[in-house]
Amino acid sequence: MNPDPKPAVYDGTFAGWCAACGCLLAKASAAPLYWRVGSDGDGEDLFENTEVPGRPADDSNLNLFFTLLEPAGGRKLVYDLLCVFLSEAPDRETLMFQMVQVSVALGQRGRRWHSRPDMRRAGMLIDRVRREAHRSKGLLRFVELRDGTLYARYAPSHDVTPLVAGHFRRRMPRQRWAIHDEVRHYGVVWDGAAFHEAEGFPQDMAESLTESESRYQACWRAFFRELEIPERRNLRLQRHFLPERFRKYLPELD
Amino acid sequence: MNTVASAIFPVTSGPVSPPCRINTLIPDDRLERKLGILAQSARYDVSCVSSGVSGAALRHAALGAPARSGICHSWTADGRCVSLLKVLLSNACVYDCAYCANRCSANVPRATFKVEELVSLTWEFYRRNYIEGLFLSSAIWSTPDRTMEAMVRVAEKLRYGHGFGGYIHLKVIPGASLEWIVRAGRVADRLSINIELPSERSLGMLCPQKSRAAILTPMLRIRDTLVEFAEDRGKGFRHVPRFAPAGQSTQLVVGATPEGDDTILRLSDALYRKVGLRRVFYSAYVPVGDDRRIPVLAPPEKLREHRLYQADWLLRFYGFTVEEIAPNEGEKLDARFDPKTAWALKHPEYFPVDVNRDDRERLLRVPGLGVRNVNRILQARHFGSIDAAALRRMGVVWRRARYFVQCGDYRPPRWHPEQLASRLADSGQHPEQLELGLFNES
Ligand code: SF4
Repeated sequence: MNPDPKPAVYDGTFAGWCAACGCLLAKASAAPLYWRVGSDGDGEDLFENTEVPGRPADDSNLNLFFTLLEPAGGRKLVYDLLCVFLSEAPDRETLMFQMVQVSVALGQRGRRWHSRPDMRRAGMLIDRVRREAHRSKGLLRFVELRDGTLYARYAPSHDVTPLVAGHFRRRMPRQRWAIHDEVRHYGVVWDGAAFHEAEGFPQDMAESLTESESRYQACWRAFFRELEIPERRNLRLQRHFLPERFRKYLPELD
Repeated sequence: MNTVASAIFPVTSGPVSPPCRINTLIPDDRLERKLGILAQSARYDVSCVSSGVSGAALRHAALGAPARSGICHSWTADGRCVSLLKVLLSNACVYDCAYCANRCSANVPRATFKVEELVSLTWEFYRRNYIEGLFLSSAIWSTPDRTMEAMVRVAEKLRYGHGFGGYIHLKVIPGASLEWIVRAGRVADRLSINIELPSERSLGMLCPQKSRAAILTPMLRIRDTLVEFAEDRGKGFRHVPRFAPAGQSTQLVVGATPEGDDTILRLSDALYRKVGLRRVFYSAYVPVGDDRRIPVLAPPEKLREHRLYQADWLLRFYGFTVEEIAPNEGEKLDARFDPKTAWALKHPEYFPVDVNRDDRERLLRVPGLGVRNVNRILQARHFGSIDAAALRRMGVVWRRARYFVQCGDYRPPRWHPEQLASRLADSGQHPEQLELGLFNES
């Protein structure tokens, strides 16, 4: 018989949640009453065998989680779970656990159960996060700092930096660049070989830029200006595609 | 850690390579003006698509990787997606095509890029994430071969000289020799040749120096080369060089000549089926001068262009044949409805379609159901019966679909084509919305 449901505690990271979930699945625990971020307390003891919760490379629960998930949807399922996590929705942990349960029970097709309200909500959150990540991949703008680093600031509606950073790692593998989320006050730096958490950001942008930066921005503006066909002007359509939160970072709209 | 885990938590090891920099020019006012002139000259080319290339195609590139689904980097004030540095290499044309702003008889400022200038702009714009890559076209400033050669040199310098892995689209110059076209295909992701006008007669009238053969011969040669490379890959040859992995496309000017939409759609259909084109782009003619060879100087027919894109979509993704959707000879598509609704109103005997039983082919013919809706319906059928409320939750355009589907206990109201036509036409879109998604193929 399943043990009684209890609240579950995890360390607030995606890796930590996966490890916690792996632990629950291994013990065939009932779905938790609710999820809470913390390291101790009255919840299910999720990390009893784990030395450092949330460190994926060392975490046996995490490996267990991925092993269990491999036949249930594998990489695609983990990506979808990550999207729900990055949506920052208040009920995200519960939804993620339901996604895992449905997938383990029904395999890959479980998550396509669009008439089930929780799967539909999960699908909607995944779409929103993917859309924001996709939009950010296009609308992020880098400027060149004096030390050669390319630096971009933005204010995404979801915490999409982990998805966006992976994209730029593939795209600019040999450049040094940094992405700064001004809403969540954190950033990542790619140094040409590995990611680091950013420790500080330029305060005075005008002072920090290279000589050629303003020239390239001017060229980009000149290019952009000339693309418009006045006979087809449609500012409403432009506003629809360029949300306000991105506009202040776009040099072409200066 | 197993493969799934490492995909989400990538750990990179190995030596740190120095940041990759090339010696790019610092632009001055002159280059800025030149860029303005050559961007303005290229703006009537509507294609700005950067999709269709496998991400692994240039794995060892120093800078740049194409995104499989394409990415838009900005939107112009007319609502068109900007994803490529779309410029002409030169606008100093020796030809005199009536509808073109760059024709030799037009009084416009002229400019020509140097190879290094264009390479620097592409590289630096890409680093700043302004663009996905380069879309290079050119006026014919000397012979077609010399023009094509200069364009290929820019692309080769980017690819081989600097290891640029971003998207490159090269426009093939009509009349260029096959040797240059093949070289272009080796460095470009996509090649295109503008077919310009829907009939040979119009081409002869408005572009006297271009011939049908000069446009079709390279198109067919590109098709054959694409087929050869695909066959070699199919035989398991490991080092088949890449050749225009995103295929070829073309553009048609709509409204500069009197052909109806039937001629345009039949031409597009033949280009898809016989020449294997990936895309045909339609560009509503924008008057750019007072050349008396252009019969009518009306405002651009944006709605007509939009309907042609919708019909084109039906040909490529919805299983319609050109005979089913083309209007009568010399006519335009019905401006009041999208072509699928127009077809449905002419075929009441085909409906209602049963959402819980009918196959994919029939579902795709229902107005208000897109490919994505149909996929969702087919998936959801595994879990039980679908009712009208579930359809609406799946994003179906119920306003239209409700006349054509049945599901669960829902039966559509009886309708007469003429009455329904006036009802559906009234609930049409606002003109501002017509272009939503038009240029944003991803
Ligand atoms: S050849 Fe091209 S650039 Fe020259 S006039 Fe004709 S369409 Fe214009």
